[in-house]
Amino acid sequence: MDFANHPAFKHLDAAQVEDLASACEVVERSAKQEIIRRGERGDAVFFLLEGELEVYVDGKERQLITALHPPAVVGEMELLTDQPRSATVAAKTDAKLLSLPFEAARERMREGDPATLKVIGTIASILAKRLARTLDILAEIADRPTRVRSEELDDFRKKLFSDWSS
Amino acid sequence: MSFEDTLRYFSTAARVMDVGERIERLLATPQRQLKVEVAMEMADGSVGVFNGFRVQHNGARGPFKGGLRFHPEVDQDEVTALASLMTWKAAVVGIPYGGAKGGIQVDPRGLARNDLEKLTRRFVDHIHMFIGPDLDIPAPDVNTNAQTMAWIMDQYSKFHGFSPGVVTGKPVELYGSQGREAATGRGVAWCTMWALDDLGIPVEGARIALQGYGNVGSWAARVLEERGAKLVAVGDHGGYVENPDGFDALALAEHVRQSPDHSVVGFPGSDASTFERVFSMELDALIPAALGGVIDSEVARNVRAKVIVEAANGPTKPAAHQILLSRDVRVIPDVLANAGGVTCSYFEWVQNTQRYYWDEDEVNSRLERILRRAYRNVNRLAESKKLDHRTAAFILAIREVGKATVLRGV
Repeated sequence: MDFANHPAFKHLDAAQVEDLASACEVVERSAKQEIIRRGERGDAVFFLLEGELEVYVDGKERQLITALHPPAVVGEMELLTDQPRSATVAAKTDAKLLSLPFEAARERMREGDPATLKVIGTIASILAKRLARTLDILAEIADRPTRVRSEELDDFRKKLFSDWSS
Repeated sequence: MSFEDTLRYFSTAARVMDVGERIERLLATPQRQLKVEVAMEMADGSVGVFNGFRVQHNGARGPFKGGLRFHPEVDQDEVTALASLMTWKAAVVGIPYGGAKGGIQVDPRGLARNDLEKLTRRFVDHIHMFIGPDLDIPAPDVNTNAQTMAWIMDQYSKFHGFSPGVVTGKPVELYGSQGREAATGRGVAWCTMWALDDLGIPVEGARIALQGYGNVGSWAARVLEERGAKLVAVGDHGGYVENPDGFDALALAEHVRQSPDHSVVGFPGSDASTFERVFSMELDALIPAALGGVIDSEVARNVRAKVIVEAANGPTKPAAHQILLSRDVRVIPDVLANAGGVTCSYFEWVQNTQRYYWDEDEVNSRLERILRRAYRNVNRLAESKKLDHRTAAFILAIREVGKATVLRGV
């Protein structure tokens, strides 16, 4: 995918694309190579142009959350929140990405550069959709039977055989 | 929907007991949910496909027991909720069953009799390994009857040998129980008398009104009349009638049977009345025996009966229940008041199991003993813990199911 066709840039005219492109850099990652790591600080947001990525969350063990295909955006949360990376993203296949450094992006935002603000608007809508999907998953999890701990069971037993026994 | 209201009452009780959210969820979760698709060639040459469900909620206290309904709007959620209700109802009366419910998505009125029989038998073919006298015992429900149960028994017996105890509500000629037709109404009448008695109101001369004069309502009226109570108002789908001197319950039942639209309206010697009048009359007992959800907040604010006995399932909305309690109306909840039916089903199963059949007097005296014990247990808990009777009934049920569950081991 040519980055000019990436949906993040879809509301931009040719001059704006060219201007933004001058701040970006095309990076290539081979399969298994990490792009960002959960908990660490990064310095760029990435637009996936080619290849497949995998998103992990590292708890007690590494858990695969989802796979990403072009035209995904990676690392946009840190750009907006200035908090460390929330997930680990690694290339599943060889991948080509466009990286936009935070510094360049933030400076353009401060200056009120219309092209950058449009890109940010697109990223916000991607985030909103992702949040909606997450809420759907949460709702589904809430419907699953939850695990009862044995202290709760002991407490229940006591209630049945003493408090409420008559 | 009335079953959702009833589940709300379960939650209320679980919260009064303070069992915690996870135990509450655990108790509400069914143990098994079956969904089957029945495909069959119909009499008209087409092939029909029908969805069928059977949900078995909690088997800690015994084999699963519950109705099987034929209705185009039956779905998994409804069946699951109703199955849990059966668990609580069996536990309130203390009969050794867990709760189940089933249904087939079909409008039986649009089906030829042969197709209905075939559908029933095919459904049994699909679920016969999950039902049985010691496993799960279906019973009649919406749009199913003694004939449906006879077909199920026959079909099940082809797989497993002679098994009359696989269903209850069978015809008396085919291992059914004496006294079943009257059982629910009798239970309603007894609960009414016991509640009046507790409040110091003499049954002799007590003023009673009934909504619904079908099987349950008319039997309740006959038993109450025998004890000297006066049925002063009654209504059904056709309208409402009053008689300040009291109706002749048997003659009224006969009128309903013979009138073209099977209604109490037009009974000789009665005055025309309305729902609003009957539900705001000065009464000793008001017995809704027809529909769910009839007593909403507005109706509740005008009720001037001392006791409401819920012969129907879920006649009182939760908000209306609160209003009734604040106005000192005693409410005998459906899970207790209409449990005579399932108790008689239990007797039918017991008789099938022991191959020895009781006469009607035996059935009735055992029915009275079981319901009286259940009524006392609920009443005692309500008094000792200062609870309304509905919350007390659900707490008693949760307690019995909970005890059986933890004694078996979790």
